[in-house]
Amino acid sequence: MATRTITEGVTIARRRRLSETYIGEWIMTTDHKKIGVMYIVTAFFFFLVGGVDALLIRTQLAVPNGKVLTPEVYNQIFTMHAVTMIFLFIMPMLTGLGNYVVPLMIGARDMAFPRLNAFGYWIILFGGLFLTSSFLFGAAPNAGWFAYAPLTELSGPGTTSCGNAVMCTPGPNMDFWALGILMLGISSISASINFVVTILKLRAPGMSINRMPLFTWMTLITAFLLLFAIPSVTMASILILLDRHLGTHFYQAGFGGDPLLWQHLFWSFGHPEVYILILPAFGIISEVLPVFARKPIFGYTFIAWSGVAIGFLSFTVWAHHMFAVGLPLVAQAFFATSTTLIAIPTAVKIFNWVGTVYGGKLSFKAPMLFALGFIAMFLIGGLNGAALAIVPFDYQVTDTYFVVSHLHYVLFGGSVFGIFAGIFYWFPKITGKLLNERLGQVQFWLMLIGVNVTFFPMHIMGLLGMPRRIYTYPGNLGWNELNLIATIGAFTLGIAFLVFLWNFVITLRSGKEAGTDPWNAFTLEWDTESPPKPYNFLEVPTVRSRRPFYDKKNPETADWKSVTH
Amino acid sequence: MRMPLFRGMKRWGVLLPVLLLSSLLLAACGENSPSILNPAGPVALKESNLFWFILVVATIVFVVVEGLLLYSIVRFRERPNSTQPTQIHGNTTVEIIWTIVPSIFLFVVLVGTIYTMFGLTSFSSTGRPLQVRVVGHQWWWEFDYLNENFVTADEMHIPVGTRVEAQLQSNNVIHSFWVPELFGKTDVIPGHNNMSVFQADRIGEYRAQCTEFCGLQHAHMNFYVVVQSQDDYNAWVTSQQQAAASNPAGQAALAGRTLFVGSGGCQGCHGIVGVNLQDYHHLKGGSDASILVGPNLTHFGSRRQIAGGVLPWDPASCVVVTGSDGQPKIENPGSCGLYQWLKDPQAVKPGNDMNIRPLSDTEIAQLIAYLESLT
Amino acid sequence: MAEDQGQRKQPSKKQKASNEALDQFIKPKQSYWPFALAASLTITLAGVISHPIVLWVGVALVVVSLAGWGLERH
Repeated sequence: MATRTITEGVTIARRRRLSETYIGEWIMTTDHKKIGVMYIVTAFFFFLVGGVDALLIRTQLAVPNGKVLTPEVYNQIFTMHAVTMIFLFIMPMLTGLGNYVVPLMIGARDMAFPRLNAFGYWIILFGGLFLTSSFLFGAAPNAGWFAYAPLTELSGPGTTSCGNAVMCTPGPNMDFWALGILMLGISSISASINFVVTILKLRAPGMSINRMPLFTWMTLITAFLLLFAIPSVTMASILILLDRHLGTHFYQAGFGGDPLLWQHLFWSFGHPEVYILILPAFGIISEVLPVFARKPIFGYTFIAWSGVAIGFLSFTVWAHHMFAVGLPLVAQAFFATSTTLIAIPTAVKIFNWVGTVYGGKLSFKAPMLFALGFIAMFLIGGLNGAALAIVPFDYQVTDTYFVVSHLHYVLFGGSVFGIFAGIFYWFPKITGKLLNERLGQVQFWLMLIGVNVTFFPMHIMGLLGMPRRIYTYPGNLGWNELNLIATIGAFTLGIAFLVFLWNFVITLRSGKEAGTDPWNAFTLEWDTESPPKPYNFLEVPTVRSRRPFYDKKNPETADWKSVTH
Repeated sequence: MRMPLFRGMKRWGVLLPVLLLSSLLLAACGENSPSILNPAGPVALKESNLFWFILVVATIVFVVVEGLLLYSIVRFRERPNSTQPTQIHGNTTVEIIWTIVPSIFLFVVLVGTIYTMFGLTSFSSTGRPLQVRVVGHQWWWEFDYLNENFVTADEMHIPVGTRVEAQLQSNNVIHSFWVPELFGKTDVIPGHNNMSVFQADRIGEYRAQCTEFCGLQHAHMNFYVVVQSQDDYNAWVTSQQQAAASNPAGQAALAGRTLFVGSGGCQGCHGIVGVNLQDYHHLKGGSDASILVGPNLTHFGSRRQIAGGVLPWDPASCVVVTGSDGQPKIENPGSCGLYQWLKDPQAVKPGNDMNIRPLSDTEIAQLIAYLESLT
Repeated sequence: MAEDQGQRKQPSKKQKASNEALDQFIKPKQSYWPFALAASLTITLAGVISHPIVLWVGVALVVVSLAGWGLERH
């Protein structure tokens, strides 16, 4: 009961303030751990929404001439599948994991700007609900997540309306899109500013940049990428809103504008964006592999600096999404070169992860399974991505299911596997309970099989001429069996996530107590209670190597005794 | 910790890639697919060869790296008697090697890529280049043969072994021009003059599809490239250049023509040279034919498909017979695509530009009889 | 600030009591302004799609939220 002290020894009961209620505690929180949990839960909710979108798509495409979805609905579903997964699942999920873990990893008590942190989360929730509410109005964004102009305009050339809905996309659908993007961009910028300042200024004494965990490194690089990439899409969105509502013609050829302006602006964001989606997952893997291989990460410096290289290079490759638009050959050659260059640091990372596993003492708990699955699947995505850099080949397969295969191998096989590695790894720290190991294994195998059954056939579908973003296809082109197989795979993945939900529910109810250090890990976040106290550390630790907690537990063989970094 | 599910991992590690690869090779055999691995022209051939090269390299890298990973998983798994592994932090020499070697290799591939890019449209041809203006509409393709002075839609005929220069135009949204068996795609962008240069070295019919999301019926915007011998092509050109016959044979066809030109009739959106067009580019009276929203129908009778490929067109399945009431009707409407289209174009291809008043079965049969005669 | 290797001794009973105080003391102060600003911003942008009135109400709320945030003692 809440009380108020009038004089010494005399208290009276009073109504609880908002901050003392359960709801109020969450609405008013500025604690990075609570905010992290909210990000993660919200992101997972949107993952399920995006997953339902995917299952609808695959159901429609399971057989030729499918009649499950009309083209109007299908175009909304495929657009929102991507928008939801990218902006409302992967980004907030990685931000949430980063929010929870990074301050603990660097020995800080909280993020540098706690209220800004909370703001970043609430915008995601409201922005996500705003964007998803468009379905209720039958006006969900329907011109692709990439929203190419002039399809997204509200009037055709020489007309003032969309006429027979033919020249453009009538209705508020793409307004929802542009405004949603603006909102989510604000959230990303807030979170990025917070991460940059926190990581650069609030590290524990002794933790030089060279000693901080790789997840922190990758989060820092991602934050910088966001700071430089979001303005591009913000500008692009504002310009399309102006075109749509205030009579400007930035993207309309008939009036002196240019549709390609949209593509350059969008992909200047869009390419760094894909690295934003994967780098934190790289960081998670770099934390999980060493712990479950019982040895340090192989090539810390190379992994860290590869991340930086990828960060810089990611701003030089954007037009590899535009090889077919008729750019001068010299320009295409430039982008082919930059895209080839960015493959190198990525390959280096993969080799270093394999080097971490090699020679270790491997324990195949769930986090490790997902981390190993990440390496295996991301490799495929990297290979078919490098194939796309071979421009004449790209001319054939761009805008086909070959690209759909690539992007899902890197985003699902990469980011999602990485995310689950992180979830299984840090769940015991966040909740004090261990997720069920057996169910985790089942989920892993369903995901591994599901990813390959769903997305491998798409390589072939692309080679056989199947374009992207079509709501149906005829039955005489040899695409039928492959599509059916992909649909079966998609439902397998759906089952995997039901298994996870079940795991989540039973663990919270009656899961095994985790203790403070269930994995015998190396980094500072494990040197706390599970869950950590609100103030994280009673005494801010001093750090003498890259594995401060390992050092504390093994003082005779501590890292700082054997290596100089 | 022993993991029962892990037994036989090594077997899977080999079996899986083999299965996946063989499925790839099997599927690539095409079975009627517009496969990029079934090249019928020099551009597609170069691009297809690149794919095979990529496949070999990617397979090798995959097997090596994945193999090393699987080997490590099996060899270094925790056993009851395993000791703590050496706490190795890295190896600078190894790092340098595995950075430099792939870089060199990638650089060589890059050089090959750029060389192929710049040489893609250098191939030997016979005769003079064919120049066609290709216009992407929502949602069908128009082909304007610039030097031969005619316009057609939904299929593009070219002579074998001849260089084709397609000028790509759109006055609406972005589309993409792609014939997988002949050449890689080029986008069709309003305000831009993109050109696609290609050639077909094998006679046949090659399916093509719009490959840039262009709105509601993007899925139904395909066309055929029909590659013919020089003689057959010349014959086709000659017939296309003719105006439509002034008086079609048969009562039904004549009635159909009346419907075409009647008030509220088809000529509001479609052009037929000799009927409402004085030539392929001008209406009778001189105004520009491009104000007509729908495809030119002058030689509709000899085409293979209708409405951007949403339905096939075959006169043999649209036989016009006389019904018991003395009026013409279609013998088997269920198997006649054109019947379904004329009956309710919005049901066949929702959102397309063709909004017509409901037609009776008699009127449809008459129109079909007329359209059939436009060979 | 010289520190040993971050060894944490088991807290004594007196220390346990002050841990409770620490719980209250060291965590960052709660605030409802981030929530308020986020909601206000959403209303503003929703106003772009719907009615201008919604837009201007949203703008007003944004201003109020920014002021509240800025003036809050933290």
